[in-house]
Amino acid sequence: MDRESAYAAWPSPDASFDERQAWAATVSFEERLKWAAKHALPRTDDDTPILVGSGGRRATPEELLEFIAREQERIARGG
Amino acid sequence: MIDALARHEVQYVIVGGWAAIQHGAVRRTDDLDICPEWSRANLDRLGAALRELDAELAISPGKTVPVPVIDGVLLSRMQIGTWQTRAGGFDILRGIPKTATSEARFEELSARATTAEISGRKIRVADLEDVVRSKRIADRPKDHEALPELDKLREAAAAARPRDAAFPSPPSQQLHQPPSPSTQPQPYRPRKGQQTHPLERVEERSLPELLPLARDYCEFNGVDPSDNELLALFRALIADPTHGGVQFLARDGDGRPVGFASLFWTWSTWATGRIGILGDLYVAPQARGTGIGEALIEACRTECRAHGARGLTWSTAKGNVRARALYERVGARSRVDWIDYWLDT
Repeated sequence: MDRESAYAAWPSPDASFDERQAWAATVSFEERLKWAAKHALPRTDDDTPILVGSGGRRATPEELLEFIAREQERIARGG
Repeated sequence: MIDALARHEVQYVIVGGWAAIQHGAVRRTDDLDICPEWSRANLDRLGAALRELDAELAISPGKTVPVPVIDGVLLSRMQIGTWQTRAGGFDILRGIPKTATSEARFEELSARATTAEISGRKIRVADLEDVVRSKRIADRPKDHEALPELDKLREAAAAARPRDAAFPSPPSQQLHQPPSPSTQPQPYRPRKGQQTHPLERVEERSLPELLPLARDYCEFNGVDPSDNELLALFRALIADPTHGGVQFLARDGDGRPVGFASLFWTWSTWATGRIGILGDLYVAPQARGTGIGEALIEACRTECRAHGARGLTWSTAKGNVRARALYERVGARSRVDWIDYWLDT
């Protein structure tokens, strides 16, 4: 099957579980990953870094910039 | 990304969306989520892979910033690191939720992981149960969205499980059953940058150095045989290596003895031939994580081949997750449904 035909056989992200499974059963793990990437949604606020010692709280962008700055200082001091 | 991880010989288990997809889910994701082995050496290798992929830290939706140096120390300070690379999103997790207050890390996930293949490379993927549990506890909208499909896949997997898996034949009928050719583990190769350790076969002159290690090993196992009893055992092996077994002594870079392994010979009807039993494997605490355990196992495996033995078998405590991770790394397979018995004579 060429690439265009493969795309044509792809289910819609809104397809039912049974429809998606019927397709998944005929393709490889790699093909399913391609489908997943093609239909990927952008990152959300709950998909950002958590720093050790923060009690599991997502770090704010400002905290992360400070973290990077501290790491830069550490590297400058020789690691 | 998988190629970069392989080139840098990073130890990890795939979790998250990719793991769900490997287990049959059809769901949207562009991120590779991994739980790496959390040692400094492994995180340094992971840092090198990230640098090769031009990774930038994703600090908020749609915004990434470059990080001057990505090394193991930096990675170890992030419980979750979300990165954007030229090959896609790449999230590094110290562990995945196991309960509301604890996480399952590499060692635990690795013990239950399955092996899959992508672009000709073998990868380790977290068990579906681990993936589902982590999403249930993480409790984000996207996790809620994924759960109905994952629950259906769990049900389908349970229904498809062979009936005899629930009623296994007695251990005595399975003992030492050799692996099928399709699942033969690959030979162990030291990781890049890992030291190769000179090992020596134990002889009479090695005994003064072996004995203190054996004493530490016995103490670790809660037993206290006398020195004479231990020396008698070692000398019995030295006297009859063809039928009894052999021992190997490992040294560190300064020549100090830091580990040993005992290989005993027996026979197996299932393997239709001689097999080796890894009776003892011990590495001194200060030398752990340096590849000595792997080197000792490989020495025993090589000796098995030279001796015509069909396989190498051993037991370990279920809770010894560090040792179990090592055994997984060298390609050994566990028999989780079996129970070891012991009868005093």
